[in-house]
Amino acid sequence: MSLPLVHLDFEPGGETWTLDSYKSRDGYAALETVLKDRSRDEIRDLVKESGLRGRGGAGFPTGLKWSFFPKETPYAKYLCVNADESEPGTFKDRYLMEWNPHQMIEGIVIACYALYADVCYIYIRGEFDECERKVAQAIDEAREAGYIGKNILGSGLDLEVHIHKGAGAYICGEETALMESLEGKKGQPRSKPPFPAQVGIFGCPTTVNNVETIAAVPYIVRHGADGYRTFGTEKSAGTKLFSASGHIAKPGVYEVPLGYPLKDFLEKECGGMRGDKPLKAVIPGGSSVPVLTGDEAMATHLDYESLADAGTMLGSGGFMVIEEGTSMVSVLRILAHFYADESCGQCTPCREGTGWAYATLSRIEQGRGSFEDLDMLLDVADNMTGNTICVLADALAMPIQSFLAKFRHEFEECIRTGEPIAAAGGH
Amino acid sequence: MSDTVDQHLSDDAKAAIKDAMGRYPTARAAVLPALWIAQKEHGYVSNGLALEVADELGIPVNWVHEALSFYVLFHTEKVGKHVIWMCRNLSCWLCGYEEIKAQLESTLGIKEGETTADGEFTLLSNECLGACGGAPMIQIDDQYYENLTPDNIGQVLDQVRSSG
Ligand SMILES: Cc1cc2nc3c(=O)[nH]c(=O)nc-3n(C[C@H](O)[C@H](O)[C@H](O)COP(=O)(O)O)c2cc1C
Ligand code: SF4
Ligand code: FES
Repeated sequence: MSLPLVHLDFEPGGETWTLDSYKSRDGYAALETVLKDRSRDEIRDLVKESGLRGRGGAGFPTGLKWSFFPKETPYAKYLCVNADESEPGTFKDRYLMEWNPHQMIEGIVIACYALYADVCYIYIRGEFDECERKVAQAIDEAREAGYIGKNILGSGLDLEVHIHKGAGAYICGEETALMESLEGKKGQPRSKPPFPAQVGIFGCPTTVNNVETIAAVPYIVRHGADGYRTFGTEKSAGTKLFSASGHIAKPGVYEVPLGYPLKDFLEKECGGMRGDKPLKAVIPGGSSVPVLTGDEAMATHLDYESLADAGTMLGSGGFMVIEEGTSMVSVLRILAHFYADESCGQCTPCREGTGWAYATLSRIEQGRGSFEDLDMLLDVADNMTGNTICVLADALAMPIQSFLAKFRHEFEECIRTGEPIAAAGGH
Repeated sequence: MSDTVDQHLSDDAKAAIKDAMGRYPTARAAVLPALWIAQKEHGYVSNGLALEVADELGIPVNWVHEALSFYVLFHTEKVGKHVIWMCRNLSCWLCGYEEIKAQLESTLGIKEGETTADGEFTLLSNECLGACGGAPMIQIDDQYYENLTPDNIGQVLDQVRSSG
């Protein structure tokens, strides 16, 4: 008998976000067993053995992250759930919170138990009003049912869960910027060390985990590390949610086992291309990761290692598909605009580099570029790599380098003809 | 930037701010929730209102201004009754952002960044709103509108207008 999927084991349509619906799917059964029979150390070990890796973008092993977290301290300890989801092309956390918020909440309670954390903040991006409504309702239901609050299910465990609503800033998804923002400050990333496990929010030990990561925890408890590992590969265990968008027939959020062939994903889950035009390129993991040509994409698999071998990254699983006829100059200009807008401005290579890149790409797109501009773009990208407090600068450097390596002829063509690119995209 | 209207926090808003303060160990941490409460009540946050928020939290007003200037969802000037945020990022652009934008501008008779003369709509753009599966899409107030076409956008505006 095959196991159900980790996240999307429900039929969309009904009121899947309610406590009743979640309980009909074995919801909170994992929490009950944990509080009755499992020690905190056992849960930490279990998560380590499951091979779960952070789904926010970096893919850091969750069990290892939790092992850095101090057990006994005189201070408060915090879990922050990163629900800031703003990496362009990514919309799976929003889907989880709107359709299945209780699984995340059950994950939070189990995680806080394992981590000895007393308070959890769910940092929800400011635009996600519907998520906020659904999660707030789920928190109320869970409190009413005794799953959060004081003396949870009579176990003596206390836990408060609060929503913190962001207010429009991509950078607040970076975990240390998120912590600044939670403290009411502007979201500027902090230099590390100290690491959040020692000094996080309000000067206290803090763990930050993505929504999808936390929501996988009840499943791992219910089905064991081995159950979780029936999906995926040795190094990329479990399933992953992909947010599929762009020029495909069936955009949406899909859950597949890691290691799934990209070609199958595109043809089956995504329903293939939306029209007659062939595939040109795929950005497989959110706007920050290097682009793949159509051929490269069709030959790879959706897991951390295969995508690294293909020269890109799994990232947040924001899977964006681009058809033939789309200007890659315009695509890169849009991405550069995004990063220039969202740079917090602390580091010169990022602040200046993203702005320069955007200005240069706009010039090329308008038919006023020069061949030196291309070398300058690569110089700027080089300067933006590994030189800054956070990796937002790298997140634009990687697209610049990969677009120029794989689609350089389009940039050159634009410079040679001096013709502005007509507003493409379209339909 | 002069404030033509005096904005004051209602008692309900003050109570909600007190409530928010209870969720954090520091008063400053409640600045985002407090600004959301203030903006919900008044549509935007004037200098006078920022001062009231600071008083309510018991923090220096420059901390309030730091948040107001960093976070794009807070308005410091009067905006229309409804705020439209067009998603301008990649997936929406791939699926027709430029056409949606042109259609909105011509239907409303304003450019991005402007407010209609009747004060109903302000037209702004934002980065990826996390709804790329429904591209092209826009947000109006606290609702998302997805899978837009130049043809169905008029209906959306009518619906919002008649919802008050
Ligand atoms: C610029 C930037 C933006 C980020 N945005 C997000 C985000 O929206 N959501 C998220 O979960 N992680 C985001 N991250 C990653 C977080 O810093 C952090 O690694 C993650 O939340 C940890 O959780 P995980 O280990 O469960 O993935 C971002 C990182 C950077 C550098
Ligand atoms: S790299 Fe950019 S976004 Fe990150 S801290 Fe530096 S300036 Fe801010
Ligand atoms: S690009 Fe428009 S919602 Fe993501």
